[in-house]
Amino acid sequence: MDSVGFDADSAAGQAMTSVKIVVGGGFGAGKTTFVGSVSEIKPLTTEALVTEASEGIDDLEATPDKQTTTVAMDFGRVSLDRDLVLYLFGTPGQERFWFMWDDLVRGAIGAVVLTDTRRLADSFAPIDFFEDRGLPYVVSLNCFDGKHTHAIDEVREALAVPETVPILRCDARDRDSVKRTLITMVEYAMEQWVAFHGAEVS
Amino acid sequence: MSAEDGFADVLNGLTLRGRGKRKMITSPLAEDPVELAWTSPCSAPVVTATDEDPADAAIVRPYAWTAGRTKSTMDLPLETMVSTSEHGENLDALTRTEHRCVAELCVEPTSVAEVATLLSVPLGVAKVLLGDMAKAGLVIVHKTATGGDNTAHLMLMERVLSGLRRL
Repeated sequence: MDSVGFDADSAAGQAMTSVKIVVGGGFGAGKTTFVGSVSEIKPLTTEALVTEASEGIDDLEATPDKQTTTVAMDFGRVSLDRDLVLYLFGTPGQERFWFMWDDLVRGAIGAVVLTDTRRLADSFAPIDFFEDRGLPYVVSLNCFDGKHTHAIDEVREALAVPETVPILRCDARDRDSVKRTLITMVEYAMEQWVAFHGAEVS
Repeated sequence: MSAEDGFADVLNGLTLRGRGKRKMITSPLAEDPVELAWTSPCSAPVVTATDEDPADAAIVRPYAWTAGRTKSTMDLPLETMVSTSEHGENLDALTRTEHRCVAELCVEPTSVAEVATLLSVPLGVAKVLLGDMAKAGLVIVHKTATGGDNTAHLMLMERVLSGLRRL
């Protein structure tokens, strides 16, 4: 935890702390629904202009008439305590907007990879990205229509996810189910932190 | 709605509300943007719509508010909360329209992402504005988890876990 800029404690009003969890997954995996199930605000969409973030990365020369492209990220807010707020950010769906993901994962507690078992391949990219950045993640199988079409072991093998990474089922429309997923995510992030830094510090 | 449309609407909406007591912006949409655009006292440069936006009476280029700057002077993660300082609460002392918009919005602690969304500006614009205002002491920047190696991060995760279980 680190303070940025001004010392909030010295000013009038409550000093707040914010944390975030990233929700990744393919297009249509239910990210916005997932966020909306626990968010106290209707999920909002924030936009960044590609020109501001992707200069030299996105080739806009092919479409000279199109001056800007917007990258949309859905997010929600959950107040956990009087002075503690959790933000949930859905990753931009299109893979070519990965440059935005760096900003997203920086400082995040961890990530949930929301997976539609009918389209497992959509989860490869987010899993690769989170592993590459060393961000703890859990895989959450969004059960559309309550159908469990794949066994967890099969999914683990198909996704080539290590044994240690939790894979659980959830219904993105169900608040308790989403809550359970987030709890598992944070517990796992804490285990990983302790494993990496040693238990004596806790 | 594109970012630029939204931006003009915000300005117009503020003009509308500027005549009465200022309240937190709940909707960036103005009832009559055409008329208000020409009575606007705001200092941000307004340009008339060009062929690409025939439906709009007036638009403001998003980066007009930042004088073309795209990088904030401060490191402001998306989830960082900001709130209006005592200094910033004195709206009459704020000479720039965009600073007033932010000061009104951040009476309650609000994240950088929310500021951008509620003002209908791209994230980059919101970051530049908030960086400027923090430097000027108009807003307070709250703490954000940085995923550090110190035990404070573990304790913070513990608090998040307790909070989630209480939900």
